[in-house]
Amino acid sequence: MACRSGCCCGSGPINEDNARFLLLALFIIIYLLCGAAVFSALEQPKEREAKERWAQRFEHFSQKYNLSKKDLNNFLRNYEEANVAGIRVDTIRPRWDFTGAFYFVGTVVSTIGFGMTTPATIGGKVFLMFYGLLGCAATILFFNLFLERVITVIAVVLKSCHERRHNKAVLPQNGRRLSDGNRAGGAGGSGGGKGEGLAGWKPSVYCVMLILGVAAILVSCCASLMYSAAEGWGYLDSLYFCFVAFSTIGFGDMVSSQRVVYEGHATAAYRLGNFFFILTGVCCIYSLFNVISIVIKQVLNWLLRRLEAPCRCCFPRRGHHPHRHPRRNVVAPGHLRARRDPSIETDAINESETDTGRRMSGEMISMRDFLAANKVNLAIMQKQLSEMAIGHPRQSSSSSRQNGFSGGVGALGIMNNRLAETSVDR
Amino acid sequence: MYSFKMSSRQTCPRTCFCKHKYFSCCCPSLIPSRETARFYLLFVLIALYMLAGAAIFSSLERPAELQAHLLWERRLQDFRHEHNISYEDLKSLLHHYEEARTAGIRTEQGRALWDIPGAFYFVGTVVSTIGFGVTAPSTLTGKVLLVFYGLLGCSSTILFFNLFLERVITLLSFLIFWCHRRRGGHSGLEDSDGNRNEEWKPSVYQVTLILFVAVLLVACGAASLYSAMEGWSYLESLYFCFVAFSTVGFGDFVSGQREHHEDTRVYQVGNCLLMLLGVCCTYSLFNAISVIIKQGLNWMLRTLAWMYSGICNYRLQLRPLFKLCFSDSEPPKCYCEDNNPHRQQVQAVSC
Repeated sequence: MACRSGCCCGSGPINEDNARFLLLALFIIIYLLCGAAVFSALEQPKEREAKERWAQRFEHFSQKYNLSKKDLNNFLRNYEEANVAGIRVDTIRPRWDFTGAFYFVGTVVSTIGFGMTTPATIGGKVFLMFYGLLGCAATILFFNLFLERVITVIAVVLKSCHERRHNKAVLPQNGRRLSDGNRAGGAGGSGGGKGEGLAGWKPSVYCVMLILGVAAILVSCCASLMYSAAEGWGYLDSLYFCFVAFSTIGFGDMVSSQRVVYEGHATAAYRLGNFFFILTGVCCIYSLFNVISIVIKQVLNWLLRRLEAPCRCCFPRRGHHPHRHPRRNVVAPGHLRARRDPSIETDAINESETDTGRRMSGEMISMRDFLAANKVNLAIMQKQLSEMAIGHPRQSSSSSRQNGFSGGVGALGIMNNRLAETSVDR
Repeated sequence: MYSFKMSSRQTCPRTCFCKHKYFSCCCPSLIPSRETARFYLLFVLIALYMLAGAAIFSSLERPAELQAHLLWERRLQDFRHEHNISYEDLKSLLHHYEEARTAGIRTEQGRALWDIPGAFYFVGTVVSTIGFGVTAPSTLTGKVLLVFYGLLGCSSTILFFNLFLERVITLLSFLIFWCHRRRGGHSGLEDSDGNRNEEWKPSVYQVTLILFVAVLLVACGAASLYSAMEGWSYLESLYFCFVAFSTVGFGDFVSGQREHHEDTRVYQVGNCLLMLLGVCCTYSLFNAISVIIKQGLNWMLRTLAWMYSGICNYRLQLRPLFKLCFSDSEPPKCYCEDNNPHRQQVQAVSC
């Protein structure tokens, strides 16, 4: 909400979401500038070196065979043209046979885009634009669903570990009630949370990030073993290739599975392994990026709070924001008092995507709460919708003290409850 | 979604609320949860889409590839014979040239790759995950640094795109709500709170359409700029716009690489800004479309479930004493609204 009263700090008229967006933009620009400086310092010497070396070779060759520079340049230009069509000095696998085209299509829909194969005909280019539109959208959905699934699984596993540890501690009286409460979906979830807060427990973002990080490293290391064995790259180079491919950057300076045959008659197995590793790797790294982005969002929120702290004039108005108060009293199943460390769940009370959002993320994270939460959530959704009618359309995370996974992860999470089709039925 | 009403009401008249399953039928253990089913269905669909795409691209491009091979062979032979160069020497020259290409050298004099603006362009393509590949680190330190740099940079940029998506949807919600308000006037808006609120959230189709138009505008505008400055045809520029904005980034066409561009700072800045805008809009468009695809998947799952329930019913009607499903697996946990008296019956009939 715009803070109309003149505020001491200049950020008065900007609402929190915009402020966060701008702050992030600023951070990214600074990050880019620093990166540019560092990379430039690292790589420029080598670039100069490579240029000189090539100039020497060019000279040497043209002198040796008494060629004019123009002729040689023409020849090299022809070679460049051939490169674009996918030809290289050494024989490589065909570009546009079925498996080659499949690899190409894979690099398109995953948006990796190595560039070793690119359409040369006009028809191919036009078709690519339409094909890519739908394909990339579907694959983004796939990665987002994978992200949700992974977080659900991790949350369930961590929660059951936590439960086991917890149950051991709480054994005698509450033991039975707890386990009943946890099993019976119809108990409204809060049964399990009776004084113990188990049903409301959700894993911390850092935990999930750690797990995903370890998974990503494992996949990269295994893939690198395979690549360095099959392609003859160094291990570090393979790791670099893995990162570039899995993050969908896809420079194309190194591309796997380009030779016609691989030794040991392992060609088909290697190609399958390549496909499988790239798929898994992209999924893991995509999820990792999204989880890290949650942490970054929390850092931004913290920064914003620090920056706004001197502006006491803004806050009191916000605190009495009309559609805040009623929600504080809403008891959603599994809801708990705000935890101090950023966790996936809480502070959802202050968010409008709260209950539907948390039902969404609850569905992602705690499959058991889902059924229990139904009836209560419907009522809450009604309340929420009516509150939104009064308030202004800003949906979000305005409070977002500890954002965590509440409201969902990734782009799907962002769109949760903001569109007509994402509000009730997912 | 929460309760599933069987189409055959005569067998299970009450709504049954079955746990974790979309509905409980013959063999509950075989039916995955809805999310898992949707995930696998999407995987299968994408695989089919890729296979179809591969076939089409292959048929479109293979002839051109074969022709290009023939052409190159001819040119190679001609050059060899004309100047009497040994094959080995020529091959080694070309190898060297390939090496030089990865360091960014081209026959036409291009701009410097690793000066500050060039490095800025490079890190831009890294964090946005476009990754043209025109510039790629060749030192070991550069490669290692890239991994760590990219980890934080790509996450921040994904967050940036997500926040942009959020801002765009908020803005569009505002606009659409405002339009409805102005148009809708007194018609239905003041009936009940419920009505007003439902209109208030924009439909994903509206948002997609608006985003699509926005992307088209940006792409067409950018394409005219690129075709003017880079000397590409308009279609090639459009193709480049699509490839760059979707962050695929092949690298066959890259803007801002000509030498004289070094003098045109305005063009370089404009290039970066356009790419940024284009990528943001296209990312939002993709995500909006993905919601539509998700709807489609839900619809497909419903249809499949309906078909499956039809089959189940059919089987049950044929063999009323069919115990196979219940003999070794546990009976489905069905919570029917009035539980007790009919529970047995309900279970057997597989609500």
